[in-house]
Amino acid sequence: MNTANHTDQDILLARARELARPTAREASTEGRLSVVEFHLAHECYAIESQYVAEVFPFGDITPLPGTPAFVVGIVNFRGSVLSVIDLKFFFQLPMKGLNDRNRAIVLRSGRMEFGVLVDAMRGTRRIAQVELQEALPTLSGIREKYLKGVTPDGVVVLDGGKLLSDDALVVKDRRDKGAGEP
Amino acid sequence: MAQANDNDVLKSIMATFKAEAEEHIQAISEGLTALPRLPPSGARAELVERIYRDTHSLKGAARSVGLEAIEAVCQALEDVFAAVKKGELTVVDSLGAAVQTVLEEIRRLVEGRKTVAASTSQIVAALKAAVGSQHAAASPVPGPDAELPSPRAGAVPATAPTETAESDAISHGSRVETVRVPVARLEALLRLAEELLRVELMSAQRSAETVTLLEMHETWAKRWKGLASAMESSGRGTDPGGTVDFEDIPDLEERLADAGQELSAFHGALKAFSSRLDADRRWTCSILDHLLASAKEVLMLDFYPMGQMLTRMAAELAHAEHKQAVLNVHGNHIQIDKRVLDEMKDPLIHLVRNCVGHGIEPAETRRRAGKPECGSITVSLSRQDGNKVEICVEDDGAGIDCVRVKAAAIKTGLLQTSESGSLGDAEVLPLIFRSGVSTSPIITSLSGRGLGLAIVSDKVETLGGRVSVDSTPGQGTRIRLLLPATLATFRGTLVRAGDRSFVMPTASVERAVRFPADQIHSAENRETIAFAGQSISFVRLADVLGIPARPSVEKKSHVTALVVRSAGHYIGLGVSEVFGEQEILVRSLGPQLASVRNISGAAMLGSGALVPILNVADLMRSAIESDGTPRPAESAPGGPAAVKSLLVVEDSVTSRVLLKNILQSSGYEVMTAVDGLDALTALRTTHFDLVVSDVEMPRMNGFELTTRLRQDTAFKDIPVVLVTARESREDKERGIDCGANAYIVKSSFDQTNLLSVIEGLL
Repeated sequence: MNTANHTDQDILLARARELARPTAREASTEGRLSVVEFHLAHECYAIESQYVAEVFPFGDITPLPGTPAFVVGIVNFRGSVLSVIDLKFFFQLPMKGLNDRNRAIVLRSGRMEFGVLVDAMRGTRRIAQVELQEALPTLSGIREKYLKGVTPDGVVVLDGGKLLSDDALVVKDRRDKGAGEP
Repeated sequence: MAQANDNDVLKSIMATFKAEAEEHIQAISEGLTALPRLPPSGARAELVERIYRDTHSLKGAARSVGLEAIEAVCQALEDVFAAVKKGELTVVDSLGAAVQTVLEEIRRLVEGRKTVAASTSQIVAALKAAVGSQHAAASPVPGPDAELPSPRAGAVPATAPTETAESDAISHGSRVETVRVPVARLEALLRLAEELLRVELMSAQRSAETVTLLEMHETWAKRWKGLASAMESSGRGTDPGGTVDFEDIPDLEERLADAGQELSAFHGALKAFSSRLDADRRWTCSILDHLLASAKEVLMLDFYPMGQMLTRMAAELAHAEHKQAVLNVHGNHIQIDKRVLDEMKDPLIHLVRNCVGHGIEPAETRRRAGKPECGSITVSLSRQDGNKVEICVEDDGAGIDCVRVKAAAIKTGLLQTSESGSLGDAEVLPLIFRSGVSTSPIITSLSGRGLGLAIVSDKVETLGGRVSVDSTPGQGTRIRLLLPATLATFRGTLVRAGDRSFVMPTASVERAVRFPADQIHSAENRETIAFAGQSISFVRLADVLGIPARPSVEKKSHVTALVVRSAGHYIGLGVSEVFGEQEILVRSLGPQLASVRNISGAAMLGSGALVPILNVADLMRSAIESDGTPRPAESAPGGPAAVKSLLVVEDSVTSRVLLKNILQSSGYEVMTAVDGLDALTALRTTHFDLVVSDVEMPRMNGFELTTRLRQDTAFKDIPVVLVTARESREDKERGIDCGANAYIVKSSFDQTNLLSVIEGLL
């Protein structure tokens, strides 16, 4: 049993190293970004691996009444609560119903953490920062806000840092408006 | 407190101070490192503000324990950051390094060591020079570090490695929270955790035993199969479907007996296995219970530090208000779950502020009433049955004026003038916990918005506790908070509304009732039901929450409802079903869902399913608003319907820009003026819904501006919020006299406070 644990551990460690090594080097010195690619509706998006804590398949999601439409609900994320949002709302993409193969990309930075609902995963890849193009003028305002650029093959790269630090995504709605102060 | 204890108390205070000082120093140091790497925008200003506040808090802490040397250094440091805040000084590497050196010196002072490198006065002088030189030269490369008499300056690394994630973390204000835990408790915890190793051994053994059981079963199965095939072959000779000639099977009896023995041996082994497994389960349960209990104890903290803080605060407040009051704490060493203590900090501060601000009378008044000149505030803790703690905050002041409470309740529409006459004090007093009820004539940072006690009651109820008040005019007020000592013992009632499940804190449920649908009366667009001899409002939970109800269920002949109570007020909540009650653990909804209307958190059920926990106080307000009719379901985020325009009057450019940004990002249209005269001009040309003004300004100050506005018929009703650095009773009274609607002191000036005041006035 112990030996089995060891090999599992070793594999996990090796994977972790594998994931960690190129990201830091390539992102900083060679101007390359390591990104996670996924589908939202029929479009292909990507987000920097730096902000992706993990990809998490979830079962039941509990919707919360009274939350904005972009909040899908909360899921049991290995014993703690993770809120899941649907970016399709901001990108004016058709909001499909949930299926039984739901996945969320868990974004994390500092204290902020939430899941982003994805319709399908495509995997990771590295892209050269210089190849990223400016947003197309047809993109709507809110979509542009979260945009890092578009790759030559049309993958929309989102800015994980902006998503995680955007106060507009934080739900603060309570009747006792002064709850935070004495 | 007894004399003999003084030494212990002092030690304990110093330990607390050291821990607090270390946290502040750490925060300042990290902030300084991150500062130059932030974009020179709002984020940097925010961080500077935080560093400034940390320095200020450190200074205050040093002063409260009488460490004058540290206080002096902090004062000098505070001046440096004040200059940075105003934009007069830029943090470049050299200044950063100089400050880091000073922090190192403060650390030495905190640890009680004499400074090796420099005397306090030298440090102070050097810092002053730092401010001065950069100021005068306006050059980004001043020489303050050269003037610093510390040889350590070079030893301090200028910056940490540039790691974007790290600076991100700092700029998002994350700070690791710490708890001091006695080693003995941790050792107990570790012992229990080690015992859990047995679980692995046990499962290994049970797993080996199942292999034996399987082998036994296989031996038997083989024999049985052999018998079966022997029977088959013996029967094949005769006609199909004919009888088997048992005589033909060799050793039949012997083989049957063997099979029977094997089967009974197998049964015996299985039985033994089952009882061992059961014993394992019982052992595991008990060790897990112990482990959980010990883990919970790690978070149990003395009330003592909170008591100290309240005592100090009461003394400071009394001083500022020119009153005499002393706060005593009984039951300092009663332990409460850290999470409960954290939640109760703001409510307790608020209650003590109320005692000093409203309860205790000025010395002169007290003497005339025949009371001791010095008012007394008592915070007493006592353990109660069922793992509960009662915190009682009591003063011997003026008491609560029920007539004014009634008037305030009528003003906010909580009470009809006609019904107010028949209400006794016992019915009127709980109204102080309702939102918007305030007897104070002006809004200040201390009181007046009528939100404070509503928040106290909300917090207590969210924790599953209760709050009550009694007051005798002229003799004082007593507020009791009954709280759970740990958060684990929270009981929830599980209900369904539409097709969704929710948890209602059982503490708030007066009763679950079921009655024929025709017992709901409707009058003036409201539905009511009879409960305990009175008529109470009835609303459907699904409607209040804005979720689709299932018509088939809602049209039943009988209705199920929970009668819930909040702040002494009852309401009937119609639900589709009540399907259980159980212990639940409250979990937060995570950082992205900072607060959600009507929902205080989530409960995780045994199955791992998450169920939202209802916030009763919130729900009640929603219910009153929703008027029993369905409110539009979950809407998209967006600004207020009509954009209100505000005028910000402030002479400091930094404050002006900061205020403008805060207000704009909250959806207001903002224009600015540099002083009172400028503001008057702006007001004559443009329409504004509200004025936010600084007090101290050149040409025309905030008081003069307010007075001028009130004299002018065109502006006599425009709401004016005064924001000031001065916290004194005279100023506050002057604010009232000249007709300002709110008076906010900058020291307590955080965004939510200002925004909620503005929202309340518009």
